[in-house]
Amino acid sequence: MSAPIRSTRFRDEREADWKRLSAIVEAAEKRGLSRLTFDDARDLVLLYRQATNSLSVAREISLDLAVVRYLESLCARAYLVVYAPRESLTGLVSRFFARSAPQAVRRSLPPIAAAFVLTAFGAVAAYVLTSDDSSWFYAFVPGDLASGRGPGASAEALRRVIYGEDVQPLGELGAFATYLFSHNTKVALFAFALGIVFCIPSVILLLYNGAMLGAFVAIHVDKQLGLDFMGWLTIHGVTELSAIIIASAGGLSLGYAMLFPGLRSRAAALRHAGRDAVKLAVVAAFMLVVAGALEGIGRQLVTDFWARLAIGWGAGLCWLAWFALAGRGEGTASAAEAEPV
Amino acid sequence: MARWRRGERSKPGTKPLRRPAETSVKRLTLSPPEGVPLHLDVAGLAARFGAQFVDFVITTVAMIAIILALLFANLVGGAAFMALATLLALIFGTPYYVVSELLMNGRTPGKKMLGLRVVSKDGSGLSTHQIVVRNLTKEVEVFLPVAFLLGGGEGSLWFDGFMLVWLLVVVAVPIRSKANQRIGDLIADTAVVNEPRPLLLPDVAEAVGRTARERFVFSTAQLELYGAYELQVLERLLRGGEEGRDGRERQKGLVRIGERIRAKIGYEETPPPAEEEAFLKSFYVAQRAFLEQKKLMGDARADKFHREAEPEPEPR
Repeated sequence: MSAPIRSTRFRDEREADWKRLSAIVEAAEKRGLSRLTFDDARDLVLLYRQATNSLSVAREISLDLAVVRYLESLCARAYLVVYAPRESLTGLVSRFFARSAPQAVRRSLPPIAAAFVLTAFGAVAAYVLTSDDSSWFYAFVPGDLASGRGPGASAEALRRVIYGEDVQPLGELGAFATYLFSHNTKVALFAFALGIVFCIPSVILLLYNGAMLGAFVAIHVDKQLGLDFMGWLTIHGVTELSAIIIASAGGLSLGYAMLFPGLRSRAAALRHAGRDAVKLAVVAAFMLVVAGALEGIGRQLVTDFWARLAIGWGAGLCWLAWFALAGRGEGTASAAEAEPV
Repeated sequence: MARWRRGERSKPGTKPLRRPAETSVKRLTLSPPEGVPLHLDVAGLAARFGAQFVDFVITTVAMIAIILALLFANLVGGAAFMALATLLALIFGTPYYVVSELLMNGRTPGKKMLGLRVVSKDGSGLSTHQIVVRNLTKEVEVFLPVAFLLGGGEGSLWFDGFMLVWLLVVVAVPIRSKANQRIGDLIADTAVVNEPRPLLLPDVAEAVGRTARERFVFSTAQLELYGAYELQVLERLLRGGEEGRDGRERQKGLVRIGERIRAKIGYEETPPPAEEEAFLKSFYVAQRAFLEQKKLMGDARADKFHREAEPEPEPR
């Protein structure tokens, strides 16, 4: 019995390796994996495997709590370093825009179509109601958003807003700034995030957003300013409404996964739907920033009707081309599962 | 100590006592590709709140600092300044969390300060998708309620009521969750854990001199009585005093424990108080060697009640 017991020998034989792994992990955490020396980088994974091996042996043979606990946290720590995300930011961003975002949009065509139909339905309904009885306008549009525009406003006043004769007090960039926190960003955010509650909030928001659009169109048509309003709206509206529709489509697909999880559990279905929904949300956020720039800068500088129309629909075409054409022919279905973003 | 004594008091023949749970900390089991499950401590809600608060402070201070610098440098006019400020507010929102968690391997500066870390629950590495998801939802899960609380509602009853319900949901989900996951964590399949800190304590068995082990000898019958749990309690006790603080008190405690053990195993000799530690340590070594041998042969003994869990063995 004079020899040390088995688990002590086990520990003595391996302790130096554990210490070395611990030092490498420490260095990697502090300075980053890429700054490890050649030897350390080479040995890291090997030592990690050895340590997990030791851990599983120690759990079986050793009753020394200290060793088991130490190995447990050492392995966990090393695991986090070995399996760290290792992609460069530029690579991620370029791949997102070149491939995964348009692919996600193409895969989510049904919810996008549904969101579009809902918006259109809301718009048409509100248009019909408001042109019938203009007091409906107040039911659809909150006061602060109308900013003086309403059934009671004169055609002259409406025209001034459209052609920017009363210039925003903050100037072009200021308008961009206020825009970013404005109504539509909120709508997009809510429509995406709350879609998870069985689609209901997203559907309501889409209908409501469409209704607001319809009400605005109705009062302008009433004053024979329909076309001018369309020009005013298109320059950013094409991009912006598409962004809202895309964000809501993300919300709808989340809600759909909650409603009809199929053979998966609800959580698993949600996670699966989340892969595309999140990409839709990021795309929508990007589009909203572009729409903000268009609204803030473009709308105040470009007052010509045809130029507005051209810029607005041109941007719309660019989006469409991006979604439809980018990232094709690279094994879409199989790559979708493997790609992190 | 209390636990040790409580175990001691139970009479043979009574039902096995349930040991009190080691700690009340929630644990998370990850299965890395190596196939050896790792147990991690789930981060407490208070720590996570603290990390979020630190991040709030960091982003706000950074934002104000940049804005002030711009103001003093007087580089930009009023309108452009407003635009820049909003852009900054955008960047120091979700993108700040996404980028810092990406670059710092699942940690934001706030999490790093509080020793927290995001891990993927499925045992593979944390993917970009997961990081983006858990931080995108943060927008509605954290920022929106905070803005609502700070801003004090928008006046419309409908909206305020809705926000309050949402606030309740947001708070209730991580409390109810097994791994303190908030909604974003659930969708992304991530969890926040306490950063594991490897600390290798010296082996108690190592410190025992050879003479002591030859002086105190235990028979197999004496070693049959305890299990792994008691062994590890003893290990903790022996370790507990190694800082050398309060030597007297410790000595007395050791004597008490030694007496109990000797009474239980029927060890005749009573060593002098000075040798008590040597006695306990050699008992620890002998017991551990014995139990490890048993374990190797497929007879793992979790604690001293191991006999009652299985049918009575044949008398030898």
